[in-house]
Amino acid sequence: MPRAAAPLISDDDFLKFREFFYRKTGIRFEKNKRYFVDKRLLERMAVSGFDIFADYFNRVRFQASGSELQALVNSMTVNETYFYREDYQLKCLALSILPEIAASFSRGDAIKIWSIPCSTGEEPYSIALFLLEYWKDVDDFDVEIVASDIDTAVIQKARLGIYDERALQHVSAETIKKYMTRTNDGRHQVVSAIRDSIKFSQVNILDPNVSGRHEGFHVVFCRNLLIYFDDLSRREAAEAIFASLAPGGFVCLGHSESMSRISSLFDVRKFPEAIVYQKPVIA
Amino acid sequence: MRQVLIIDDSSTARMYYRDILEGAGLAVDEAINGFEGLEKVMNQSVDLILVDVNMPKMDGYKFLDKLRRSPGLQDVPAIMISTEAREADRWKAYAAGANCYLVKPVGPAELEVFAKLMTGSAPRLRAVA
Amino acid sequence: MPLIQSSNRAAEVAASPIAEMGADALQADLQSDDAAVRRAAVLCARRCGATVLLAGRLEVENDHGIREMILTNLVRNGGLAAARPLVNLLRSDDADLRNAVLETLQGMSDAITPLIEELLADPDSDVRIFAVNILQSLKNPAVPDLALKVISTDPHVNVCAAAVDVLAEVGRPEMAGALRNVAARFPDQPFLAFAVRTALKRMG
Repeated sequence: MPRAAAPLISDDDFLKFREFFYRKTGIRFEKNKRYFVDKRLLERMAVSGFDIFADYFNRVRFQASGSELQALVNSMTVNETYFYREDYQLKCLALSILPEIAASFSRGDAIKIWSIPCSTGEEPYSIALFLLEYWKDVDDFDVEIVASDIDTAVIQKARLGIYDERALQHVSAETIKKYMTRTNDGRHQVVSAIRDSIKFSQVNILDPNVSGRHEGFHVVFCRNLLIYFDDLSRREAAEAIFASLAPGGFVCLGHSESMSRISSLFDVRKFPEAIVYQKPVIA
Repeated sequence: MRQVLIIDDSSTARMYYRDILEGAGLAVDEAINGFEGLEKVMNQSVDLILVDVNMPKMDGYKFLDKLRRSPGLQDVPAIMISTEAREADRWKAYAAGANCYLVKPVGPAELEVFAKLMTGSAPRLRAVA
Repeated sequence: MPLIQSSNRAAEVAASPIAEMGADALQADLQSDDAAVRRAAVLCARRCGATVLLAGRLEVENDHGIREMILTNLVRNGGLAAARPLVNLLRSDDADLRNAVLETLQGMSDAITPLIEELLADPDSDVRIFAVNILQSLKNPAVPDLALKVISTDPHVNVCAAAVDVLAEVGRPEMAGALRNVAARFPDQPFLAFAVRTALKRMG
C-alpha cells in the first residue's frame, strides 16, 4: 500500500514564500489563496526543473539575475488591458485630482497627463473618454494626453484606436456611440478628433534621456509596469517619473502596486476614490 | 475589536507582536515600512500603532512626523520601538510624536500592558492613570 | 474640443548631451545653491563614472530627488570603493539618511561582502544589526554561513535575533543545533526564543 505523498508545498513553505514575496512586491497572499499560489509555484518549479520546493526557493532567493523572481511575479499577477480598467482611479482623476490641480489654474491653461505604458491604447483613450464624460470642468482647460510605450507595435495599434466588444465591455453604449464609429468588421474605432489629440511616443522609462523630452506632467498613469521590474530598476523608473512631474503632480500605480516597495520620493495622498502619490510642491 | 497596526521590517518581529496582541484580544494588521504604514492608517480605522525605527523607504521618525501632519490622524496613539536605550532617544521619540517608547527586546507582558492601556481596554489601569 | 496635441517643441529640442566638465568644475557644480545645476552635475558625474565623488554629497544634499539619483547610481555602479565611504553614514544620528544608506548597501552587489564581514565585527551593536540586515538582501551563497557565525559568536541579543531572522529564510536543516544553542545562550529572552522556534519550523 503506497504511503500518501507529502504535500509538495508545506504550510511552512507557503509562509516562507509568502513573506519573501510580500517583502519584495507588497502583495500578501492570505491563506485562502493557497490553491492559486501553490499551482503557480508548482508550474514554475516544473519549468525550472525543480522537484523540491526548498531548492526552487533557493534559486529564487539567490539567483544573481533575478529572472526567476520576475517570472514568478509575472505568473502571480494578472495583467489584461481593457477600457476603464481600475476605474476608481479614473474617478479619482475626474472628481478629486483634476479639480485640485485646476483650482490654482486659469481658464485655458494646459493640463498634461502621461499614460505610460500605453500598450494598445485602452488606457489613454479611457482617460480621454472618462474626462470628457465625467470631469465637469473639462471644457475650461486644454487637456494634453501623451501616451508612451517601449513597444512600437503596440503604439501602432494604439494610433489606430480599433477595439472589440471585450475591450469595451465596461463602457456604456451611449459613450461608445458618442465617441466611436463602427468598423467594417464589427469593431469600434475611436473618433479621429480624439485619436489625433493624443501624442504617442516610444519611450523606455529607464533611458536616462527620457525626462528631457517628457516633463511638466500634472498626472502620470504608470499602472502595472513597475511591478515587473527588479528593485533597482523600479527605483530608477520612479526617479524618472518624479523628474517628469511638475511640482505637486500626481502618479497612479496599478491596484496591487505600492510606492512603499519602490521609492521614498513621493508623498501619499488619500482621496475618497483612491490613494495616489504626489511629488512634493517643494523638493 | 480594537485594531492595532504593526509597522516593522522584520517579519519575525511582526509575528511575535501579533501573537501577543491577538492573545490580548486585539485585532492586528501589518506594514513593512513607514510608507506602507501611512497608506494603511489612511485607509482603515486604527486604534494603536506600533512602529519600529529603522526601516527602508520611510523610517519610524519620518512616519510619525507625517502621521501627525495628516488630517484626522494626529491623535492616533503610537508606541515607538527602538534598540536605543538612551534618555535622549526617548525624548526624541516623544518630540516626533510617539506616545510611548519601548526598548528592544520587548517582553510580552510589557507590550500587552501598554497596548491595553493605550487602546482603553484596561479599565483598572485607566482608573489608576 | 478640450483635448489638444502636446507641443512637439520639447521633442525637437532633443536632449542635448550634457557637456563634459573637468573634475574641479564638477565639484563646484555639485555644491551649487541651484538645484538644477546640482542635478546636471550629478547626471554628468554618472555619465563619466565619477561615482565616488557623489558619495561625499550625501550628508549635505537636501534635495530628495537629487539624493535619490546619487543613491541609485551608487547601487548601479558602485563597488567596494563606492561602498566604503557609506559605512560612516550608517552611524549618523539622522535616521532618514542612515536608512537610505542602509537600503543602498542592501541593493549593492555581492562585491561588498568583504565590507559586510568587517561590519559584522564592528564595536557598535547597531552597526552589526545593520550588517545583518544587509545580509538579508545579498544574493551571495555565503549568506547563511555568515548568519550562522553571528548567532554562534555575537555577544548582543538583538544582533543574534536579527541573524536568526535571516536563517528563518535561508537557513539549512543542519543549522538547527546552532539555533538551539543561541536560545540557550540567552535564557529569559521571549523574542529570541520565538524567533528560534520560527526559524526551526521554516528550515525544515
